[in-house]
Amino acid sequence: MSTASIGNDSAQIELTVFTVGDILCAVENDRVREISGLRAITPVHHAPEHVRGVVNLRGQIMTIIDLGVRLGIGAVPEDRNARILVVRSGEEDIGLLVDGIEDVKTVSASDMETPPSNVQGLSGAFLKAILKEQDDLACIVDMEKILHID
Amino acid sequence: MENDETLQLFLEEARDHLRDIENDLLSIETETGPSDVDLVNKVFRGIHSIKGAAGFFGLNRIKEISHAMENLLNRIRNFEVIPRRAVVEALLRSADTLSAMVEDPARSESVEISRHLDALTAVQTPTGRAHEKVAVVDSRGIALFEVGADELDVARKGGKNVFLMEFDLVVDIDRHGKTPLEVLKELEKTGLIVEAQLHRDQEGFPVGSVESLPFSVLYATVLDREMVALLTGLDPARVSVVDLPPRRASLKALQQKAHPEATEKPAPPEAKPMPPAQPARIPEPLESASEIVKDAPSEPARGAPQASSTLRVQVKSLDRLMTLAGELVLARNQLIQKVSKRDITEIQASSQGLSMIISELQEAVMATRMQPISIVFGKFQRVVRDMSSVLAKEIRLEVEGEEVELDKAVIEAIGDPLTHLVRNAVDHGVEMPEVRERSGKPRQAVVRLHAYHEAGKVVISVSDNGRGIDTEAVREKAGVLNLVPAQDLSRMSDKELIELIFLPGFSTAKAITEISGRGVGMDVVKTNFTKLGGIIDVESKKGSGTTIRVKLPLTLAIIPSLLVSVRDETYAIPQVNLVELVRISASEVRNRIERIGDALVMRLRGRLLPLAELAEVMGMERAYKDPLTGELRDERRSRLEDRRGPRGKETPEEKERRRGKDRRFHSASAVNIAVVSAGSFQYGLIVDRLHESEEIVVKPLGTHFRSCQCYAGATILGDGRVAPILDVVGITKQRKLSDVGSARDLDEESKARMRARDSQSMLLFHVAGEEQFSIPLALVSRLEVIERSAIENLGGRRSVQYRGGSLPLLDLAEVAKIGALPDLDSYFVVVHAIGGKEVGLLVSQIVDIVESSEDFDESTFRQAGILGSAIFSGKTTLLVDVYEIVRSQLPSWIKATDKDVPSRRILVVDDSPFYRRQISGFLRESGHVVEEACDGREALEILGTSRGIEMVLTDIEMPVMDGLELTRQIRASKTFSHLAVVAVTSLSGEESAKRGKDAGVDGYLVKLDREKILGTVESFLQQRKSSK
Repeated sequence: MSTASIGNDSAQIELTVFTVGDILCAVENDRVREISGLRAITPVHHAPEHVRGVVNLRGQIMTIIDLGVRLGIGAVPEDRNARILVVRSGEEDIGLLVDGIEDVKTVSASDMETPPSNVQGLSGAFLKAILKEQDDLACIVDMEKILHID
Repeated sequence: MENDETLQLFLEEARDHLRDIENDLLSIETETGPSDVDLVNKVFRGIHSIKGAAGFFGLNRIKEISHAMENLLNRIRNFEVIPRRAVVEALLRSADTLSAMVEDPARSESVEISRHLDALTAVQTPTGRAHEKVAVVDSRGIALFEVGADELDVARKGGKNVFLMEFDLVVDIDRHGKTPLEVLKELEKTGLIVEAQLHRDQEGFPVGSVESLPFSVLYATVLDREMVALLTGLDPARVSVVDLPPRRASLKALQQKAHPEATEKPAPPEAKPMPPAQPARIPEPLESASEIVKDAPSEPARGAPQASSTLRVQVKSLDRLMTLAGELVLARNQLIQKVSKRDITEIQASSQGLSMIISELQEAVMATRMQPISIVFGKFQRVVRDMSSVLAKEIRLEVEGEEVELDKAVIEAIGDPLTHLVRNAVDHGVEMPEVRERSGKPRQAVVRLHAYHEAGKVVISVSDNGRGIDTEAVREKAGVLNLVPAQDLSRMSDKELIELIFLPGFSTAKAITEISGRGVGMDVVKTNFTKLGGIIDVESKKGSGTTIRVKLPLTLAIIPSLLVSVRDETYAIPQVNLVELVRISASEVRNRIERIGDALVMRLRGRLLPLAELAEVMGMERAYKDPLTGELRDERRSRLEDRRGPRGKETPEEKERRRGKDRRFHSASAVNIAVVSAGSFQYGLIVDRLHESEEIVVKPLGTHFRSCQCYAGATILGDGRVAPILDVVGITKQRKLSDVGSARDLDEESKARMRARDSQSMLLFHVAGEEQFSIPLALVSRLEVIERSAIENLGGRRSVQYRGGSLPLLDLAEVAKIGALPDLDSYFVVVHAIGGKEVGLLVSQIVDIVESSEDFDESTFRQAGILGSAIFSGKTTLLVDVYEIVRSQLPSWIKATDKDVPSRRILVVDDSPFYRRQISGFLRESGHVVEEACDGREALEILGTSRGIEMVLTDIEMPVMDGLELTRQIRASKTFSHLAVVAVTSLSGEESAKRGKDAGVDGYLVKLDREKILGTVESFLQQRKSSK
């Protein structure tokens, strides 16, 4: 039952692996439309706390979600390594602010495990699965829950 | 069902035909006279082409209903049926259903139309042939069509032949690169399509294989068979003449014989005798109409008109776009070339050219989105007609400016709120015909829709000449609903009361009627318009009608906006919401900005404006930019209006600080305010900096900001950054700012200041040092400059030789406790006329003349020679009482005017307690009995209860009821019309004097001119006495 949420055991899954704080996270590759460098984020007040603001993505106003705030491990600093993962949500593009991109890799669905309720201070509510590879542990975030508007 | 472009094209065309049909049918409607043949023809053609194409798409129900309508229209066209109300009604109802079916063709087959078919038949005279069907068979003897015999008769008129054309969709049409619609259109140029049908089997699939799809057309034309074949490229063998059954001696045929011209060609209408038996057979119009009205809600898809996602654009516009796109490419190529050469002047020239092309392109693209407002106005004839028949009111709708164009998005969004306004006008605005007659108005009311351009915007006005808004009823209702505190209500002016109708939960209709619907109020209407960047404004006069004006931007996509910033964040405020920009210098902040309770307010030309700090609205932490270092620091001063130092006087330390480092007095800490209007409510937004105005492109914010009320979207600035666009209405909601709300928080004094007040010119001067004094300019005859050497000192009195006489000079310092007049080489003399003589007041310096509506504080600085104080130009200013100075220094002058007068009863009306007390004071001094009222309404109450009042002295500008209205009411009343009414005002000029005269005032006097007021009172009372 450990892999039900991702796919059958033999399936190969492509993941984009990135860091949020010190934690290694990942998302299915087919969700990611592009990875963009950091650009000037305009803060929008009165928005939900995890919404960092908006940026201009080729003439479109794109909402930026601070994945650090969303996952409950503190705001992602706007530094050189920071990146924006652009994902599609309904009719719009949403940018996820992350600390840095680590890798793009293909893993087997059998390496996935059901997430515990808490991983290194990160709430399990936003996690879909845990990827266990040798020593590494990556949290597969549940994009639907991340993007959900409360 | 074909879900392809052809079907879309058909639907679009059908919508086009149906769009005007309502109004056309309404214009056709007539009870007696002949109808407009051209118009009937137009409707006929529209319905006809719908019918033709519907058959092709297998939309049988659409075909049937349009067929039935077409029949009826044809008979109207031939003057066989009078388009009476019932007839038109039946057509309208069918057209409604037809429109609904066209909007949703997929379900049109299941729409029940028999009711309409029956209604359409019922209103016609049965002719015997109307129901007779003729089967048309093809070459193989298979029946293809069933056609009404009368229809064939019609088709054959004018010597036409009727042909059956058997096309094959694949072979004859598709392979020739044509579409069936094109073929039908071509045919229509030279004849009439009676029927068209794509043959299908019982399951609805077309009969035949992929190689062949039979499609037959019944076609009436004057051309012969060969010509028809040639024209369409159809094998002549597949074109056959339809044999018609012999005409029977039907009633209709007999009639045709009696009036042969009846069906041959449309003859001049007056020569057209109506078939005699006809009128009697038309059902009672009212009965059937109301019956149908009751049915209306069950009609399918009547509520929401489909927002069509396609737009018709003139080919001309597209060509222009194409040309511009071409130029754009050329310009880009040039630019690339020049960039590679790195020639900066050339690049500049190119970029200029590019920017011009882009502007043109922008304009051209916008132009394609512009649509005439007739699309919206069109439906109102019907709305008004239906409603007035249900309500038994007589209403004519006048429409003007239908050609005015607005952006598609605006056009789509204004339909609902405008409908609400029109419905309101009909339901609540217009009275019943009998009521109108009783009040001397014509039975038929007029509701007027008018669109016009004004200052780059479009104004739409909806007006009626009905009963107007009953402000008393509004007051009562607002009280009952507890929308506004009672004490505020009693003071509100008519205009303020009318504004209350925009409050949520307000509706003046006594009963919630079926028609105006429930739940949706004017507040929603206002919000809807405001969302579009519109401004709504009501004007109403009880008894004569109401006009509601909506000012709308031409387009929503690109709007001129002002950019402002708070700290390092930039925001855009749409120009349409902007009223003015105010910059309050650091030294004035203390006098202009106040905190009342928790609310920050600004004084602006005599009224108090609620303020909101944008930084606070956005929830930013307080901080300020150090004016010297440019650093951001935390704000220690928690209140903006907190400026050091007591009013008026400044200690040396404070002076020092002002020159030096204290930023509170530094010019950089001036306050910038953008005054914005959220509907009728205005407030000021405090920002750090005001930037330039720019045309910005509005872009939507993402769904995560759904709950943020403060933004109307966002835009991209020149440097690529994003700036949110402020929603000034949303901010009021978020901040809970409101007119009524802020008025509630104000204390009495501020409220008095906020109310309507007339302003007057004040002369400001110094006597000694920096102390500032003032005198109403209206009391000053002249200003003179004199040399000190010219002053004569005789018997303790100073005077100067002047115009052959001696002008007594007064020194304020001798009367009031103020600094002594310094020794100067020359003085200014403020000359007054008192008791027919002139007197001069010596002053050291004339400062300014200011317009002011400030009320005076008469307690704080009251002393001999000083009436009170007010703040002018940021300084406490004492108001000089010239009369008292004269009385103390030249007592003999005053006695001469203070004659022994009999005591009279006089009513003094003024909203300013200061002026009221001043005037009452010197009237009482002269021995009169004075009653006081603070506005026109109170004055009327006093007149009603108090006996013996002989004269009314009234201010003009007052809240609740102004002086002019009071005068009108006095003149109109039986009991008081004889009273002398004198306007006492600070308004000067012939215009206001004329307005006063028109209202019926007997005299016009300037406030504080004691001499003249007393003199006038005497002379009027004397006149009254002698005329009695």
